[in-house]
Amino acid sequence: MDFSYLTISKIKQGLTNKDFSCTELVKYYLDRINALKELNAFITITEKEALKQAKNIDAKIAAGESLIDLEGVPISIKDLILTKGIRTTASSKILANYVSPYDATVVARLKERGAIILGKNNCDEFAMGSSNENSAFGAVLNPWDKTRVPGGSSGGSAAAVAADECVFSIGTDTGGSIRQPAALCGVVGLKPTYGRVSRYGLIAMTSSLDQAGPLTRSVEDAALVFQAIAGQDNYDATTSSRPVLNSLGSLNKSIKGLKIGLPKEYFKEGMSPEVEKAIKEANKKFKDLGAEIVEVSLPHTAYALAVYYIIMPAEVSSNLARFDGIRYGHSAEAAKDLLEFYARTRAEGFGAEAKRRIMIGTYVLSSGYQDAYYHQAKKVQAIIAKEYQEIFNQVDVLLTPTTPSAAFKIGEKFNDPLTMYLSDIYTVSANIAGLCGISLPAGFTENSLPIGLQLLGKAFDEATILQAAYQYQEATEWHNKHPF
Amino acid sequence: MLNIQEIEKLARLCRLELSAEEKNRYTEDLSAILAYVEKLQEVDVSYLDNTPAITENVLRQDMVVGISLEDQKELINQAPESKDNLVKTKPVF
Repeated sequence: MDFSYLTISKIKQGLTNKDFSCTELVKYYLDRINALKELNAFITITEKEALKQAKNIDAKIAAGESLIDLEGVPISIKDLILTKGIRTTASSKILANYVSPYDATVVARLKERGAIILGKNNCDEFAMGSSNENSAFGAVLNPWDKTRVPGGSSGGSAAAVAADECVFSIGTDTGGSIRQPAALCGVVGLKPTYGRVSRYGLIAMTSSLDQAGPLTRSVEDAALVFQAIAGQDNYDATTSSRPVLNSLGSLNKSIKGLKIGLPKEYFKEGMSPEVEKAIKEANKKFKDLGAEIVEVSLPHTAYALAVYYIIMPAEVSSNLARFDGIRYGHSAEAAKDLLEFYARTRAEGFGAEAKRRIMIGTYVLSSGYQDAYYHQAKKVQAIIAKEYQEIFNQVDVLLTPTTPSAAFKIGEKFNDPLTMYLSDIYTVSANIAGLCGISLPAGFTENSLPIGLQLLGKAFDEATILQAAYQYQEATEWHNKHPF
Repeated sequence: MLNIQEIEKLARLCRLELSAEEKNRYTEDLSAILAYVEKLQEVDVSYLDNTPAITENVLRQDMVVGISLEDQKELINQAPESKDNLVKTKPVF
C-alpha cells in the first residue's frame, strides 16, 4: 500500500473500504517523522496516544461502524496551540516543560471529529519570525532544499505537510505566519478572517490579529478543515456570531465572471523576477478560467508593514508580561528580590526576537510616545482597512504573490531583523485590514523552489477565495509536485 | 536614534536583564525599526476623531464560573513553587 501524500477524502475512502487499517496509516506517518528527523519539524511526538487512538478506530471499523468527519486522519498542531496533557512550548525556553491543563478550541473541535494528533510542530518562538530560526528547539529545514528556511512562524507545520509527515497541520497567522511558510514549502495555507476561528488556547502574540488556520496539500482539504474549526466559541468573545457558510459546496463552481483585482502597489519593487513571472502566468490561467482581471490601487498598502511593527510589538509586550516565572514556566534560580527575579527569569527564558519585540512594544506604548506611535498606527490601520473594504465593492478577490521571493538561505536574514520583517510585506495587509487570505502553489523557481500565490477575500468570505483557489488548483499541476 | 541609557530604562520597564552586548545590539536594532515605522507620520489622520475600532463588541453576563478542585490543583501545580494549594512567590520588599 502506498500511503504517500494522501488527502483527507482518500484516507476516509481507504479506511472505510478497509484498503488499510488506521494503525498502518499512523505507523506510516510515525516512521516518516522518524526518517525525516533532520528537518526538525516536530518538537513533541505523541506516538503512544496516536497508536492507541488508531487501535480504537480500527475496532470501530471492524464493528462496521461508520466514521465521522475527520476520524482517523493523522495531523499535527503548531506548538503555539494548547493540547491537554501534551507539552506545549511555544518553541520557547520559558515554556520548555509546560503541559497545558486544557485543549484549545481548535484542538477540541478536531479531536471531537476524530482527528489523530501525531505531535506538535516546531515554530518561531511565540510565533515571532518569518524563517523558523527563532526557535529555542533549533531551526527547521525546508524539505525542498535543506540549506533553506521553511518560512515562519508556522515553519514546522509547513515543512511537515510538504514532507508528508502528517495530512495537515494547524498553524497560526498574525502577519503571514500560515501563508508565508505555506508558499515557501509549496503547500496550501488558509488564514481565516479574524473572528472566524476561536483563539481560545492559542498562546497569544497579538490578540487583535492572531488567527488559526490549516496548512494542507490541497485546497479541498483546507476547506474541509476550515469547516471543522470555524464558528463562534463562548470561550472567545471575539469570535463572530455570523453563520459559517459552506465553502465545500461552491468549490466545484466555475469562476466565470469572477472579478479579480491586481493591486498595483504589490508589483512596484522588491519582487524577484521568477515570482513576478509565476504570478503573470497565474493571471493568464485565471483569465482562461473565465475570470476578469482588473488593476486596482490600494495606496495605503505601503504603510501596512509599519502599522504591523507597532501594533504587534505593543500587544506582544503586554501578552508576554504574564511570563513572570511564578505561576508557570521557567523560573530563575537565584535573585535578591522579586524585581531581579522577574528580570532574570525573563532574560533566561526569552530568545532575542522576543526580547526585541517586548522592548519595541514597551517603547511605542510608553508615555510621550503612545500618540505618535501606537495611536497613529491604529488610525492608519483603520484607513487601510477602509481602503480594502471599499476595493471589494469593485472586485471579488485580490491576487498577489504571497512572498517577494522563494525560500531564502538559513542564516541569510537572521542578523538583520528589518530585512527579515520585509518577508511579510504581501501577507500582513490581510491581518491589518481584517480580511481572509489563502496561499497556494503557483510554480517553481529554476532551482526547484516553490512559489506561492495569494488570494485575499473580504471579511468572512472564505468561500470565494477557496473556490477561486480550487479552480486554479484543478487547472494546474503544481500541488502534485512533492519534494521527495 | 536611541541611546544606551534609553535602552537600559526600557529594559527595566520590560523586566529584562540585558548583557552589555545585548544593550549595544538592541540600541542598533530598535533604532533601525523605529526609523522604518517613522513613515507612518506622513499619513494624514487628522480627519479621524479617535482611535477607531475595526471589530465589534460582543457582550455577555458577568458571571463567575467555578472550576473543580482537581483542575485548581492542576493549575497550582504548574507553579515552580507552591504551598498549601497556593502559589508561592518571592517577597516584594
